[in-house]
Amino acid sequence: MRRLLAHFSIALVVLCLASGSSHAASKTEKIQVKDLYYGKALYDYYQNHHYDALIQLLAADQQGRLKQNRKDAQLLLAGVYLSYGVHRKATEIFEQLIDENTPLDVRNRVWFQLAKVRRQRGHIESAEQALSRIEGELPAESQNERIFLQATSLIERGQYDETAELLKTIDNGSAWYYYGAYNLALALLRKGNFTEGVLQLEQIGATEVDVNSGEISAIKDQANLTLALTYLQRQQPSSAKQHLEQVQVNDLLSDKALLAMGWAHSVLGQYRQALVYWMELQQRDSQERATQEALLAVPYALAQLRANKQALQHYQSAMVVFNDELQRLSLMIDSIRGGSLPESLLANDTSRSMDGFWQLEEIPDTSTSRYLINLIAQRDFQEGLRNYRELRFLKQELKQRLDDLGIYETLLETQGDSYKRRIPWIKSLFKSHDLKALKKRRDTYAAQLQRIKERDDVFAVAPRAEQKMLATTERLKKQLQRLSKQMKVDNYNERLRMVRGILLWRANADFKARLWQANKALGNVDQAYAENQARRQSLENGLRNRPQAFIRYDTEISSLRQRIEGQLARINTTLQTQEELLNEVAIESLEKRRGYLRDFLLQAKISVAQTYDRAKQEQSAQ
Amino acid sequence: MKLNTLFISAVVIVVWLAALSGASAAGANTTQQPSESLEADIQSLKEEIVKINRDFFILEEELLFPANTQVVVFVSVDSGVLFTLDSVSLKLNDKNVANYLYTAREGKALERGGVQQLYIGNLRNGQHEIVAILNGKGPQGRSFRRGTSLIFEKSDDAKYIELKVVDSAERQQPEFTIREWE
Repeated sequence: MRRLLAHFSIALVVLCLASGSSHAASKTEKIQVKDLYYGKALYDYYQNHHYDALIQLLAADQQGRLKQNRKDAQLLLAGVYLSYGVHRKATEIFEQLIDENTPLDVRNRVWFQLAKVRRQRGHIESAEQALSRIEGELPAESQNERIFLQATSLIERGQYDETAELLKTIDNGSAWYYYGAYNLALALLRKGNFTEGVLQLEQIGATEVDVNSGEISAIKDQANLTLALTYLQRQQPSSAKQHLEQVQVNDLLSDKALLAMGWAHSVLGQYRQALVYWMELQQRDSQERATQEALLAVPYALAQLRANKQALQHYQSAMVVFNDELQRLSLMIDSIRGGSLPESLLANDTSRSMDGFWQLEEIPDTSTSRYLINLIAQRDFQEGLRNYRELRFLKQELKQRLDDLGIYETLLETQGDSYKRRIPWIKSLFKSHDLKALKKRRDTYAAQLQRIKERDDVFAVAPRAEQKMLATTERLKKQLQRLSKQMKVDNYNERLRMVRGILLWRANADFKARLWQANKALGNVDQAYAENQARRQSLENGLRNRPQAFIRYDTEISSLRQRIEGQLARINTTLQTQEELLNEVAIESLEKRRGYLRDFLLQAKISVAQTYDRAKQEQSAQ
Repeated sequence: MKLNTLFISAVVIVVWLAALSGASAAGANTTQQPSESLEADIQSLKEEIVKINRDFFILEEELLFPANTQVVVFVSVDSGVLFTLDSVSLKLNDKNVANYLYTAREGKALERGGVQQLYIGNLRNGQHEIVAILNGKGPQGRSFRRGTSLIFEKSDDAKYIELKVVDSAERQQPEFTIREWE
């Protein structure tokens, strides 16, 4: 159970990571760390040092340091890969790990996350496959999002009735329902099904929602604006007005709403009212498209009110603005072509880390970035920029590695020289310390002790003084024997016997303790010998293995150098391609802008000519 | 008049298209994707470079801290309720080898189960002594300073030692343990 809990916890961490939310991760259960190096990777991961955690996990796995937490580590690894956009590898790991023994909710969350990532990257079929592997229901909000994703697939296949039915299963009040319904309405309108499309939009537009409710309120405004534009296109300005009145004034869409409101009044012939909206819009940011359109709409309304002179003035001003804008756009396009948009966008990016959640938060305040703000805010552009940034980071890292390899080569060389210098000294050391002779002496001593024990040779372990005294008694005994032929020595013999008795008694009494001491000393000798032998073995191993290790390290360094140089060449090409792609997308966006500005300029010129003609006709009529 | 009507249509259509494209981005992502081959190339590049870094990391460790002399000291916190770790000092054979002051983020990472590698170095085979002094805030925010030590035997294999702070629910006090890993 504990294992399941641990896996469940780490899976939640992984999913939170993949979805870019580190906040939710903090609510999960604490993970049972049983491998130190798994814990070390977690330590980096929890501090958002995801790249370091990734390297730690891979290295620890390669070094066989992940045993009990290996599955947890693999899940974490897959999550980190996912956050770096390496979803192919992440999927491979997930698929290996997720089996019938994995708790259902963990399995479901993994498939759900993979489905989202795959769809974001445009891999529709594999996203649908991942969705189809979810069993039962997900937690509420994820379940709603899951239905939205399924509905999106149905819309793409043109199964609109099924989509509408499916969307009904989303919880009341969930923004996913409104996103789904809005996309369905758009699809219906694009297919020319006006009645059904408008019905869907009207349902969204009529939703009673708190103006501060965020997403739903924004979708409601979008629906009302789309409805108004649809009605305007069908020459139904009154209906358009009704829906435009529902759009919040402070909303991001208000520029478009003001423009459309002006047109609704204009179509009804209410030019003065139209002017109120358009003139308000005209005061806004001149880089916005709706504002630029208003620059043409205002003189159009003035001309309709026969204010030809004012109309001409406004047309002239509009032409100046358009010309200035066109010039600026040309300069910007040239500047992007001659330089690097991603580099200029990343100019203030001082962070050296490769955080999986990175996104450009502060756009450098340059004329180009102001025009491209909408493009830059798009998820795909951010993804592309993040890839560029990561490749740039990896390139720097590889270059650093190349420098480090040089240092290691020097280090190896120094170690090799030092090793060569020490060989003769080590060999002479081996010679001077004859361990075999030492061992022989030790064995003799041990055998001696054994004999002493077997024979109860109490004086053999007695102190030297006692042994001397015993020898003295032996000598005296012999002398007394010689003297006994010449004189009476009984008295001396008796005294000698007493002394020997005392000596023997003492030696007997202390025999066990002395033997134990002698054995202890032998034990110490054994320990010292073993240490010596281990050290010598270690040195011998070193002597034997070191040259091989030098060769191995040398080979590894050469191979790493080759691999790094190969990848650096690849990275340069890919960086360039990615840079060109981002530049191209930006230029395309600016070209589009240039295209409609040219149309506006042409329209302004034609309108000036028309207004002159009309003014002349009116003058001659008077 | 004909031109003006055309102009209205053109403007309305322009706005209409702008509104539609802006709206669809809100729900489902349909904007430009990099080509599949470029994306696959970026993925495989990242994978390759990550592998290079892994191999480099291993080589670096083997070169600088060979297993036969390697000693690594880790710090972990079991719960972190009764003790907040502020700093740790480490002595190896009476020589100061590490002093570390924890940031709030590092402390949190430890409390959530992360394990810090406090020290990595080289030691010759034989007996050694390690002494760690841990400073922090104990129960009721009291300053807490506690030492712990271990005598260990270094062999030809790498030696891993873990300093662990454990909350003792029974004594309502933090406990500090030090242990060797196989």
